[in-house]
Amino acid sequence: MPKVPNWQLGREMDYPYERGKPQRQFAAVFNINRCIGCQTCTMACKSAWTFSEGQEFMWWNNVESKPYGGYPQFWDVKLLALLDEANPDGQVWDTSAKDAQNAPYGRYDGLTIFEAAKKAGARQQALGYLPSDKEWRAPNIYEDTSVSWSQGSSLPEHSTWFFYLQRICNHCSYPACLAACPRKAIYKRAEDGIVLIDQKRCRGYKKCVEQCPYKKPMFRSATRVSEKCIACYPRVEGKDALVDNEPMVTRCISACVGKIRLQGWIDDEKSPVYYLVRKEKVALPLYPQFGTEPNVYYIPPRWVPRPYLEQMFGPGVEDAIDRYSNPSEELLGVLQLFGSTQRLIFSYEITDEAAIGFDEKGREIVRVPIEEPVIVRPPQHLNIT
Amino acid sequence: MALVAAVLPAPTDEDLAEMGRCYVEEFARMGWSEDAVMRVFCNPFYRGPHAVYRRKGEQFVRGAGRSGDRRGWERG
Amino acid sequence: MAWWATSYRKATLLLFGLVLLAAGLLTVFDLRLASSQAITLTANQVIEPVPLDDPFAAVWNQASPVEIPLSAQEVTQPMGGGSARAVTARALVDEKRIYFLLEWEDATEDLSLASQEAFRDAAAIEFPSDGGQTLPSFCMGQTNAHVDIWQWKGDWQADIDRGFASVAETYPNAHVDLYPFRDDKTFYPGWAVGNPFSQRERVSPVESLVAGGFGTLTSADVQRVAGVGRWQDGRWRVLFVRELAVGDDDGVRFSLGGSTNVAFAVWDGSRGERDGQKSVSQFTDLRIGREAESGGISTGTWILIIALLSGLLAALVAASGWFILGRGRRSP
Repeated sequence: MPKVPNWQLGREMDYPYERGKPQRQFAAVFNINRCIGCQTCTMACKSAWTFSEGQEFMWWNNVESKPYGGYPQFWDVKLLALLDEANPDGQVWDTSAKDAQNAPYGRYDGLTIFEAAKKAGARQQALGYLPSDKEWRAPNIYEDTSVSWSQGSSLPEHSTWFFYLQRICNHCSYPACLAACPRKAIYKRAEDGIVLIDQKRCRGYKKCVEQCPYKKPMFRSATRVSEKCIACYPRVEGKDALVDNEPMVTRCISACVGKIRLQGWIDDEKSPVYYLVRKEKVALPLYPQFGTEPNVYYIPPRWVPRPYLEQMFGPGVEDAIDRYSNPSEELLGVLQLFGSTQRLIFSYEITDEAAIGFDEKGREIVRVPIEEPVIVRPPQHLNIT
Repeated sequence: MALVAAVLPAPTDEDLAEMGRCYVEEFARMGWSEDAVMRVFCNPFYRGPHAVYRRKGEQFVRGAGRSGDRRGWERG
Repeated sequence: MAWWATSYRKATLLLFGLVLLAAGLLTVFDLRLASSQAITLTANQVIEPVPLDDPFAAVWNQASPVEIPLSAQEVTQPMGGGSARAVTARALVDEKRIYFLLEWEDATEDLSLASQEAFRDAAAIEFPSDGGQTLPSFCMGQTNAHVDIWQWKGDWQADIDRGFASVAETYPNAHVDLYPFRDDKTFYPGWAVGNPFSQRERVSPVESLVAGGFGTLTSADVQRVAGVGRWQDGRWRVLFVRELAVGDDDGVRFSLGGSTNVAFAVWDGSRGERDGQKSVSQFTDLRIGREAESGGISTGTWILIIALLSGLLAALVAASGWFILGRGRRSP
């Protein structure tokens, strides 16, 4: 099995194919601290791509409440359990082996899903399981269910912490779905690193469903082949005449009410996403220990116990939260660019007055004032209840 | 309900405080004034912020906004 | 050194050389002596009609059943299968068509692929695409020796018998208020791009495929194989039928009186078997028609026979040399 470099793990790892580096890699940053769990992203995706027969259960974008929620149910708990079983007590990081470029979080000394599968006797390319119908059918079950009733008819107030986790396909650099497909029906596009299932070659074996650790490929009974999040590639390509055929961010990202999402390129130093992930290190990959090098990055929620966050985002959590809570001028500026435009921001500039986003050709596409003017509605139109 | 059984650290007073600080700072970073933020926290309609307000008190909320660089807060 | 000693050594070297040459040829041409299972399936010639819709028809009593051992696929990822230990193969041929009947034990009838957890029962027959000139790997063939595969699928059989299963049939308790653009293929990409799995009108439960190595399996442009599968009392009986005479590019060619090779595979859906996870056989000889010639020996077998004969010859030469010399020594 070839060895490939994985910067998120700070080491090389086994992967069934050689590294095929795309010209640039689709990536996004989601700021968990600002999400209000309104599911507008979920519905934006649903109404664009998955409203037809056989897609009823499909949520290419979903928002789950952690720690209890998951879609499919318990997907991450199950994967973590499988990994722990394969390598009891060995899933650890060596944070002393940090190196800004090649190992920003230290070195992961445990097994990835590819290595765990190899150790288990290589019946699979990646360690995984096939979720049941029951696990798929109710995306937010148990999340907001009370455990007891009090004070008559009023709803109980949860006194514990929780947070919303926004999930789309991670368009991984080393996709496990791609590794799992015996037909090579899954491919990673050279132009933007978006991972797609060839609808003509797929024979519905559900191997991708079984081995994607994030459970984002889904089997569609109405066509008997699998489908997955396509990163709204027609928008990213700039195929929409409504916006002069310029590259646009995905539906879920542009629809976000709380402006928690920002799309860019992970390997382009000019991209604000590169800045947040590689330079400022305020945004972290989701379960980097799986080893797929996922390309959706999260600003971790500040109020959640660190051991839980470190299990989910790796050892970069403490630094990320520290930087987010005490932001630099540049970080504050880049945060202003989140949800500021439907157009895809390729580069940016932060001045004293504004955060400015530019398109691929360097033309200004958005300008957000650092100090927004505050206009207070007069008393007769007050909208605060 | 038996399925919902993950072992988690018990919530502490500090978890709530950090959540409260996060609420305040996210509003402040958008340029909200102290007055506007306080109106949200005092209103039971906004369950999360109001829970912080009830448990931690008004001084905590006002103090959370004053610590650090919180644009708009000082504009009052 | 005595002349006999040199000659003896030469003969031994020649023998080794020939064996090496034979091994080398087998390796270079990637030929496998898969027929060494020594089983021959003969398609007996029949005069009365073979019903195309009844795998239990009495005419099958005229076939000579052959039990083909199966084993789990352990050559490439994803490995597994092996739940069916054997398949009973029968074949018949008439003036126009060739018929294969596979029968195997399976406790459950798995016809649906529709839910997230379900897999179908299936069975397949594989032939060397060129009729056995070069014997391909029984595992999906190779780049220079393709295979033709006919796969019968339980869900396709159900599509034909009951119509393409809708979500409402798979999940009777699900409620959906509206599907916009319900019959617009645009919103069913697999259907729109012509994926055979997504098509709603089925002509046959058998898909005709070609492959030239792992991961290359592709649905054939021309689909000419008919069939039917019926499950009864814990056994499947699946009939495959094709015209003998087909066009040049319409798939593997059979000729009355000729022979080729054939391999089999079976999938048990309820055990999650699909793609490489299957029970497979190696290639076995197939003779078509009662008057099947004794020839039809594959190239690999020929090479082995030549090698063995040459070896025998060399041994004879060596032995006679030793005999001559032995006599010479005794003489004064």
